[in-house]
Formats: sequence, C-alpha cells, structure tokens
Amino acid sequence: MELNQSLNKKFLLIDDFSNVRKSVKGMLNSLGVSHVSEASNGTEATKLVRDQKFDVILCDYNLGKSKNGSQLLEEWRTKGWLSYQTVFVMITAETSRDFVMGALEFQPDDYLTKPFAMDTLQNRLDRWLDRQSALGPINQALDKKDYQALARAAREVMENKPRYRGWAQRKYVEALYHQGQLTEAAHFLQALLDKRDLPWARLERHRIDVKEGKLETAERGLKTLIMMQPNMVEAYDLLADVQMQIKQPEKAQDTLSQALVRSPRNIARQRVFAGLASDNGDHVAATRAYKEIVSLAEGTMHESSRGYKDVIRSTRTQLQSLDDEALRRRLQRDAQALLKKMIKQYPDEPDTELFSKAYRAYLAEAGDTESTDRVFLESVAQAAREQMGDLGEDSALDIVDILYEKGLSKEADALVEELRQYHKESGAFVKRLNQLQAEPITQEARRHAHKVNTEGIELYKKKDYQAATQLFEEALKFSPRHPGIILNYVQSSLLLMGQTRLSISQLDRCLDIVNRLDYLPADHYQYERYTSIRDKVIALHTKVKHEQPS
Amino acid sequence: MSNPVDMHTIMAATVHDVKNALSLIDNELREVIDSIHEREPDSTMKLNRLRLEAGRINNDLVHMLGLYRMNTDTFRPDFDEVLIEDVIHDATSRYQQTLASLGIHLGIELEDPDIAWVIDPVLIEGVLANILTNSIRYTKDRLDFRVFESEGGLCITLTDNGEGYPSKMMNFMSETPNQGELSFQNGSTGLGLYFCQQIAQLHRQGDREGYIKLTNHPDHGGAVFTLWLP
Repeated sequence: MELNQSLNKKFLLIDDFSNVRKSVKGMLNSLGVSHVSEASNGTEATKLVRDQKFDVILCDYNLGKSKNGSQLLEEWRTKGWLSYQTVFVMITAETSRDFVMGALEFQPDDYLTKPFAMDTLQNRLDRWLDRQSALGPINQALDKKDYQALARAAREVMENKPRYRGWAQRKYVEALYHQGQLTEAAHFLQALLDKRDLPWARLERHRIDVKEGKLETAERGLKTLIMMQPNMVEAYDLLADVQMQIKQPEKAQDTLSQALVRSPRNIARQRVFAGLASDNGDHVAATRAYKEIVSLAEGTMHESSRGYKDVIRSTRTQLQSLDDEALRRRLQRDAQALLKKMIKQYPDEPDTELFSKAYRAYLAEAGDTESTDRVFLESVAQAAREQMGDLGEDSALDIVDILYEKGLSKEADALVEELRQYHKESGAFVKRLNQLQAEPITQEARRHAHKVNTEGIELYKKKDYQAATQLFEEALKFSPRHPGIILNYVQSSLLLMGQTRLSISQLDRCLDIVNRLDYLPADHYQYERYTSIRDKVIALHTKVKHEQPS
Repeated sequence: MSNPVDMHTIMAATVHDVKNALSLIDNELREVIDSIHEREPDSTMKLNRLRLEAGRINNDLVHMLGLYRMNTDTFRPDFDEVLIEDVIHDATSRYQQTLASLGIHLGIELEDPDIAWVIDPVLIEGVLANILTNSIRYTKDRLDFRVFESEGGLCITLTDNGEGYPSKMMNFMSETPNQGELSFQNGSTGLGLYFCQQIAQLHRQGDREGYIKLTNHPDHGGAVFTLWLP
C-alpha cells in the first residue's frame, strides 16, 4: 500500500449503523486515511456531498428508512452534485448477483460486499486511488461535459496507459457520440470488434445503427447480443426501442418485461413498459407496472402525484373490461386507498384535487350517496371549467371521460368545447379531445366496434346493404358516437330503403342517430360528409312525412 | 396453481441464506482470531482451518446452484473486459490472513501487469477461489499464481509444492472431456472441478473455448492447475 497516496484523500462513509461506520473508519485510519466524514442517512450525505468534494465515497446500499445508495447516486448524478473525479463505491450485504445488478444500474465505480476484511479494503483502496489519478483528465472533462476534451483525454490514456485502455475506449466512444461523430465512432467500434468480441462495443455499435436508421441490422444484432449476454439490460431497452419504431409494440413489451425480470428497480424502464402495455391493451400489466413505479419512487426524486394518477387511471381502464366481480371490488378499493393517500400527500395541487374528485365519483360504491349524486359530478364539471388553467391534459381527459361514462354528456360536451378553445394551440391534445368526444368508450369496445365496422364496409362494397346495416348497427352499440360508424349506418340504411321502400320509423331513427354528430367541429375531416348526409336524411324525412296521409 | 414449487427459487433462497450465515460465521471467526492470534497460535491455526471449511461449504453451494442453473438453462454469464490482476487479487485477498497463519507463501506473477481480458469476472474469481481453497489444503508452504499469454489465449496457473494430484484425479479430467458421466468419488473436489470446467467452457471466442487442466510439476511434483481462456 502506498500510504502516502491515501494520506491526504478525503473519504465519506455513509451507513445507518454507527458501529459499522466506526469499524470501517478504524480500518481506513489504520490504512493511513485521516480525513473521514460520516453520514448516517441520505439527507446528511447529500448535504456533505453538495458542500465539499470527496475523493472516495463508501456508501451502504441499504440505509434504513432513508433513500438507498442507488437512489442517492442517481439523484447526485442527475443533479450534477457528484463529481466524476469522486470514486463512488457501493457496499452491499447481499452476495446475490441479481441484487448487485439493481444496485449497479446507476454505475458506481466499484462495489464491495460486506463484511469485508482489511486486506480486501487495502487492496481496493490501492485500485481506486490508482485509477482515480490515471483517469483524472477524463473525469474532469466529464464533469465539464466537454466532449472534445474528453475525446482528447481518452485518446491519451489509450495510448499511454494500457492498464486503463478498455475503460478509456468506452469514454472515447461516448465523446464521439455526444459530438455527433457517428461514423468515426462506428469505425472505431468496428476496429475493436474485428480484434475480439466485446459485448459493450456491440451494444454501442447497434446504438449507432439505430441512430442511422438501420433498424433491421440493429434488431438482428441486438437479439444475438441478448442471447450471448442475457443480463445486459441496456440491450433490451435498445431492442424495445427498435421494435417500437418498426411497429411491433407487443414484441417491445415482451422485450422490456424480460429486462424488468433482470433489473426491476429502474423507474424509467417501468414507465416505458407501462405505457406500452397500456397501448397494447394489457391493462393488468400496465396497472402492475404503474404500482411498482409508485413504490419505487417513494422517498426519491421521482416521487410525484403523477405516479398515483397513472395507477388510478390504469385501474379504471382495467375495470372497464372486467367481469370478475370480486376482483373488481378489490381493484376499486385499492384505487380508493391510493386516491386518499395521494390527496393527503399533495393537498395543494388543484389538478390533483379535481382529478381525485372525479375519480371519487367514478369509484364510489352505491352506498356513498354524496359521491354518486349527479349534483356532485356536475360540480366537478363546473370546477373544471373554472380552473381550466390548472388542469393538466391527462386529468382533463379523465374528467371528460368520466362525465360521459356517468351519462353527463351535456356537461362533458360543454367542458370539451371550452377545453378545445383553451388549448387550441395544442393540436395533439385537441385531437385526443375530439377522439374522446367521438368515442367515450373503453378501448376494448373501440376495438370491437372497429372490427365490426370494417366487416360492415366489406358487405357494403358488395352492395349487401341489409347485412351491412345490421353490422353498423351492432358497431354503434359499442361506439355510439363515432362519426364514421354513424355515417356508415345512415348511408347504408338510406340505400337499403332505396332498394325496398322508405319507412318513416327507419328515417326517424336515422335522423336521431345522425343528430348525435351535433358536436362535430367544422374542421373535422368527416364534417362535409356529415352535413351532406344529414341534409339528405332531413329532406327525405320531410318528403315522406308530407306524403303520408294524415 | 400449476407450479406450486419453483425449485430454482427454493435453491436460490436457501443458498443465499446459508451464504449469508457463513459470511457471518467467517466474520466472527476472523474477529476471534484477531484477538487471540498472538497468545494462542495453535487455536488460531484450528480456527483458520474452520474458516477454510466455511469457505468450502460456500463454494459447494455456489457450484450446486450454478450447475442447477446450467442444467435448467438459466445460468447467465456476464462478459466484460477486466484487469486480470484485479480478479486475482479479489480471489485471494480474503485468504491472506489464513495463508499467513498457516505459514503458506502466496506468489502472484503477471507477465504483463496491465493485461486485460474479456471474461465473466465473478465466475472466474469463483473458479480461482475454489482452486485456492483446495490447494491450501494440499500444499506444503507455497502457492504461486502465474498469468501469461499462451497460444493466443490467457493462461492462469496455480502451482503448489505439495504431493501433486493423484493420478485418479488427473484421469477424471481426461475421461470426461465433454461433461460425460460425472464421478463423485472425489466428493466435492470432483464437483468443484467439474464446475470449473463448465465455467471455462462458457468462455468462447470464435471456435475456441476455454478449458482447465490438471498436471504435476515436472521438477518438484507439486500440483499445477491450469485455466486457459480464449
């Protein structure tokens, strides 16, 4: 041990047990380290890290009730409080590899399994300090996010310090990537791979493929890489990204679920997965993932009311297509409990308050006369219109949807109208509003309606208007406000009557149904078709009525 | 439920638990040794033997779980380019105290101290620790690690100055080159070597794969364990 090397180094020791800190500090002292600061929890540690620069941080993974070591590292890295020149060492009590993987996702510089012997600590200490001094310029460049300097420093290490060549190569690629020098990076990686197979280099090679739009190459290569290196979770993330781009969302969901089995503690990955599952109609998986996010986020920088809302929203989607009464009640209770917890934790957010009121009405059981009363929902609708500016887009859609579902179509339409005005700059949101207004129904129903409608169109093309009309009628049961289906139904009915005879009752029905499209804004792509069909129905209706003997 | 007992989970949980208990025992033993080693060298030696046995149980469990996973195709190696010196130090550092008290000298000699290789460092560290626990039992007073490049691969040898491997054991390796029938006559030693062989074979580069070899030293007859990785 080069005692002189560690003499003036500053250490920080983070552990919730004072006797553990004492024992490790004793070891460090006898290895010649005299500057040892201590912290017993995340808050203390964060304060110290923001105040001064340490050379080495030894952080226990499990810090009791406080944030764990991995969460601390993530927060410090994200917020730029931890210099890359500081060696961050994660200490874990677990020997199992899966656990270590979770702790490693935010890349500590090293990890140590406790309890560890003095010999081990001494050995590692040498290693850390040697590496720290050899890689100084690289880490300084990383701190400054100066990628030109990073490339230079990495080259220098590659040429002159063979011991750290592999490490510098990765940083070199990172520097090229950040400077947009993709071709150079690809060549460099290929040269490495020609010499021997390096999993990390393969991954980075494919990352560049994806950037350059070579999706098929990337997909094939990543699948092979995952087969060889099944624990490399970043490869799954990238593959899922590719699969989404080539429109295979089910496969992307499957890929991410495999990554989550290996490393479930990553909030970003859980969130992408939940979104995918929800889009794929797998609401059970989506709800589970959203719940996982809430529990992972607890006490961390990720904690927010958004997590709760995601779970509750996903639960509602799940409830819409559920037959099992017992499960329904359980899901409903879970959601109600979350709702209470959320409002208690975020009492001052207007959006959260409106959201929770709407959901209170939605989830209320028959016995809860206050929440099930129509007046209560009317007041929610009113409040939403008054607080338009505080209402987030997702919550606004939730409220509209709940109003429709609970039969308050008039209130919902009025709210939609105002939201459309208020958000007219945001095309995507207006589109979602229009969609919701057209089809305030479950995704399952939407899918079914779409399927039946498509079959109807086929029959319509074959001029079998009777069968086609029946199918459009069936589709309307699932999606009563959809402009396309409504117009298909009316058009097909009119042609059917043309083949047989005009019937006043059938025309009444057509008029009724086409009037459902009152809400259609003039810039809707079906608007012209709507007015022309509507006018035709009205004309026929008047004509038949006059022809009828009174 | 269609699958009420998931053997893998049971084994993993048991191994995890026993390993944690062993690590506690090892730690306590170490503290006792620290406090008595000057006054009672004989007891210290005995306690160090106990620590070695604890290490053996630990290795056996790792082998059992590892082989089970290989059998059920759930074994997941993680390859990375790492400094071989670090791997050897990680494998040896927890034996330093035991070695010292048993009067065994450990030499580590790297042809190139900066040599890095693409391996699964955790698995290879396990192989080296396993061989080390065995060799400590059979050597006289020396153990020597040597690391060098050979035939385009990485070669790690551990040589002791004991009686050497009995011919039966050296045959065991040559009789079962492709995981054929496994003889448990040598107890956990056989199992451990079989595991090491499997780990070596997981390391592939092109059409070459790793292997282990048992020989005796041509001059002094001590055992020579060789691990070769492409």
